Amino acid sequence: MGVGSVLVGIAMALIAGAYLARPFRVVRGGTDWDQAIETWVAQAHAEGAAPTVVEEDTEPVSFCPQCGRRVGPDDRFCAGCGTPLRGGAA
Amino acid sequence: MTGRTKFVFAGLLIAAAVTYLIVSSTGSTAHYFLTIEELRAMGDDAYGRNITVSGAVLGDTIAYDSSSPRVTFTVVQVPGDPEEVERGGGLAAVLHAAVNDLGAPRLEVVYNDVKPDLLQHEAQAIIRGQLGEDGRFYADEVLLKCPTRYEEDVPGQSGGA
Amino acid sequence: MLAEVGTIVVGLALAVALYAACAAFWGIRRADSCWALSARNGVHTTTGLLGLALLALLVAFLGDQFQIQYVAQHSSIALPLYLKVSSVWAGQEGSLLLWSFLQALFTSLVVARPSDRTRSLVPWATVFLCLVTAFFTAVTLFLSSPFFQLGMMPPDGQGLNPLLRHPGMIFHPPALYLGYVGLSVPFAFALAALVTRQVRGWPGAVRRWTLAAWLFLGLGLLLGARWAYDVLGWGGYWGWDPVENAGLLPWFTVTALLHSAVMQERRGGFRVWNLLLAVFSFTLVLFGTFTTRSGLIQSVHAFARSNLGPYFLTAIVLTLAGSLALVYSRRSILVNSRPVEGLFSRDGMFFLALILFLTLTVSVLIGSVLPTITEALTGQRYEAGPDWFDRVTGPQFAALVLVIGVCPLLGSTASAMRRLRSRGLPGLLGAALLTAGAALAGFTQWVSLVGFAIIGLAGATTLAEYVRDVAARSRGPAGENPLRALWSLFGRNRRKYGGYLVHTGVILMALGIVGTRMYALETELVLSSGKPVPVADYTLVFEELGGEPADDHLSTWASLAVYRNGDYLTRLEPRMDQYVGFDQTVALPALHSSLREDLYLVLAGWSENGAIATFKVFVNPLASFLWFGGLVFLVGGAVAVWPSAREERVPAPQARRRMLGTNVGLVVGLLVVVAAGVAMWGWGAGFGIEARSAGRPLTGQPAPDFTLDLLDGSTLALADLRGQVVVINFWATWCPPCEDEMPDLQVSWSEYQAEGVVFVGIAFDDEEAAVQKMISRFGLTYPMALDVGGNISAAYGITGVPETFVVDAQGNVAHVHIGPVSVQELRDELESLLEE
Repeated sequence: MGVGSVLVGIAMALIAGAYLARPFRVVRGGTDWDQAIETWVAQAHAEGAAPTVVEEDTEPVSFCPQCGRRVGPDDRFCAGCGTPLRGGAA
Repeated sequence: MTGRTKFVFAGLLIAAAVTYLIVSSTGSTAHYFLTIEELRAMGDDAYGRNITVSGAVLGDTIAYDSSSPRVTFTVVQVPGDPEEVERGGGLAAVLHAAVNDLGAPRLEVVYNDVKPDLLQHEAQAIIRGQLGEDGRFYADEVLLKCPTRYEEDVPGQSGGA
Repeated sequence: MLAEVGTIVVGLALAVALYAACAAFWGIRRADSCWALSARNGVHTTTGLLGLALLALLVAFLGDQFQIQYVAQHSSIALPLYLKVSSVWAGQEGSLLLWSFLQALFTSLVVARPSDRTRSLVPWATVFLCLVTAFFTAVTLFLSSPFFQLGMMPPDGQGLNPLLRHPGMIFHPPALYLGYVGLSVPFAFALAALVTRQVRGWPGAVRRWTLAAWLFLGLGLLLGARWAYDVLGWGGYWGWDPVENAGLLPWFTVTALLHSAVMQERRGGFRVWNLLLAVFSFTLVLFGTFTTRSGLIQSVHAFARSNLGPYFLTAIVLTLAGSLALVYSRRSILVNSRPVEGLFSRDGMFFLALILFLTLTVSVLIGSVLPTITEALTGQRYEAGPDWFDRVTGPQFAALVLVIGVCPLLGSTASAMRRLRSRGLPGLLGAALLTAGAALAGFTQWVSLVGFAIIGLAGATTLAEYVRDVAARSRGPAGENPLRALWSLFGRNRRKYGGYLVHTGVILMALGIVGTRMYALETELVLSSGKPVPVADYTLVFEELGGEPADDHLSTWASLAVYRNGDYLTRLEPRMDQYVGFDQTVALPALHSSLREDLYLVLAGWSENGAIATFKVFVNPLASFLWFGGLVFLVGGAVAVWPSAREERVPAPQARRRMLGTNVGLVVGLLVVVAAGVAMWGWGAGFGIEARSAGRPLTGQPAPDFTLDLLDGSTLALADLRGQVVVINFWATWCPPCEDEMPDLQVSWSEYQAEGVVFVGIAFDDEEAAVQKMISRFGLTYPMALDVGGNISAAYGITGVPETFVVDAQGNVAHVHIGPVSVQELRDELESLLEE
């Protein structure tokens, strides 16, 4: 197994791992990229740059894991099926 | 009869009809599926029956007369039991061993049709036809496969009956 | 490095897929949306990783990386680019990787934008889909890796099997895999419905997925059949080979599922049916893959690989056992006690159709494993050949077509009789007309006449439905013209009319099947150049043989002129390609299709000097209906799948994005159908050369008259020569064989001139100066002329030079020579003609 291949493999594992851990990261208050982006967008607004696309997902989105219905960030119970929610998005 | 019972009855009727079709077709059109050894073992019983026999093709026995057209070739015994094939190392290995085995039973095949594309040394042949009084096998259909080459879903190439 | 990266990526994909399954499960268990989101990310990651692996394999092929065993086995330096791409799935390893990728991709699509109806089932469906992805990825990684490297790098690869170099074989496996993978979605949703006890709405929720999978599976099967017809050269398209049956079995159960899903949506019943059919369809997919890649069914029909067998078998057993246990455990919610309609109602017909699909599935299954069964039961191994399958499935298919015909005639039981009387007339007329027409056309076997009656009934009834609905719209207050009415009917109710179109396609295909299976003619002919031979309604004249060496094969072609009832029809060129490297020949047939039948020619052999060639000739009646019906079938399926904007009420920005998705889907769908159409209409096979206005006259037919200005200034008219034998020789100075025959012609002329035989030389596409030179070179003394404008050559239908026509004293063509003629041949012919 060549060194190059191993390095590529490690790099990909790290990227995958980061992506998989992302939902947890936001909760546990790690580096909040989303927050940073929001701030940047707000600044751009303030400076008069026209935001063209209102992204559907400007805030982290949550779904009820039992029935899949969209839930608000502060909900403690799913309105659709009544499942108690833990770790809602910040 | 309630509605439901009628449905069940109809279903059973169809199932019975299909079962009859299967059994009767097996009795009349299905072929004995034999290896060369088994064919020889049948002795005189074998004459006149619809038989399917399998074997490995010996390349240097292939003779083709394109004006008739008529092709003759000899096949060598190949085990019919899948487990035996596996123990022998897989189909390719078994075919290779068969063509190199000088003592294994052989069968001469006569096929009055154009030479099939896949007829070559070590090919696996499935031959449907009848055993002739002269000990040669007269084929109606020859189905060939070369397992070592093609791994993907290439259906067997059959010459029509 | 490419192979190593590929292996690592596949390994990562496996790990992530397993993680995603666990995370999805954990998210459900703990009602924790973080885990659910992480699982979703995992699904997308798996897709991305497997896509990368596939890309790596593709790059390996394009870059001729022959140190990778799979690349060396299926590619070569000389292989054209598009074939290198399709080689990726030419073998088991690559096709399993493709399968794994598609499986992951479909999972991603399922979780990406769940519709309102699927949302509640998606979490559990994700678990199951990820497990399936993990299974295929694991099989690819551990048992069948395309990235296995050889110790060294061979200078060149073995190249692609010649049989796979055809558009049909390029599109057929991906289409099949899209169907197979698509079937995992209804399966996963069925299990999810069982687990969450939401068994009512799930078939409707996944309807599009089921339809799409069914459509792709059908496309794959049709493409495979067309490929067999075009390339394998045995005159048929379906041999009931286990490889073919592997794709047919799940197709039966999915078709049944589509119909029973409609029943559940309408009446709420058939819950157990739908669940079981979804499970069986997927299980049959696994079974099919397993049987074609292991030693199970019979060692004689399978492939060399036997190491995959046990794992697939385990998967099948686990899937079946687990699903059935689940169904059993939820049985209380599955019982539907709603009263059923009578048997002679639309519902009853649906039920009959379901039963028939089931018996068909069981029949084909039994046929495939017959040796094993009969050996266990009777001690003697029997094999089921094509006749067995035709005999067993034929009546069942006929019954299905009958159901298609009868179903629109029935409503609810109470009014059945009344409806039958009022609506039954077109059907009866159709049955009578088609049967009578067929019998008159020569199709007289009574079994087939029954078939024609059923097809006529079904066809007329379905047509009547269209007509009735269009008429209703045209007559109504809107008063649209019929065509517009038809268009809006299709637009408004795609499901219903797509279904009608599919049934129409099936009816047409049935017609083609009856014709080709029961009335096909097959014969072998040995033809000498120039001598006509009759076959059925045709007369065949073998013209000449030619050879073309290409990169890795030698292509030998034979040209034949085809006449029907004495009239020139077309010219066909069947070929035989010999691949030295593979030690194999591929016989490519030439085909002339007409409404009534297909004339199908295969070149089988030839003599050393090329004057004699052996052909296999097939006449396949009604074959075109099969392929055209297949196209109608596919178009109908596409219409049924098509999303209509009205179905889902979505807010504007989302609608715009959905429209983009729809438009992309439209383009892709159209491309697929066009590709299928092209492949199905035989782009790969030999085309008949366009029929010219006049072909070569057949022996016995009058020789076309002409008037020539001879080079010596006089005029010669063929009509004036009535009563004398005439030898007409077409030649050219730029043609070496013409030079060879010149002395022979001169000798023959001097021998027979005294007996009143006239020789005429007609120079084709030539100049006077060169012709005069040739005349003086060989001392030719017989009449010579130039064919100014080429009209005479066209009238005689020559396709090259030299060609010689010997015309008898009555003015009819007696002999035709394509190619040079010899003194002896002329002597023999002229002697016998002069004797008369």
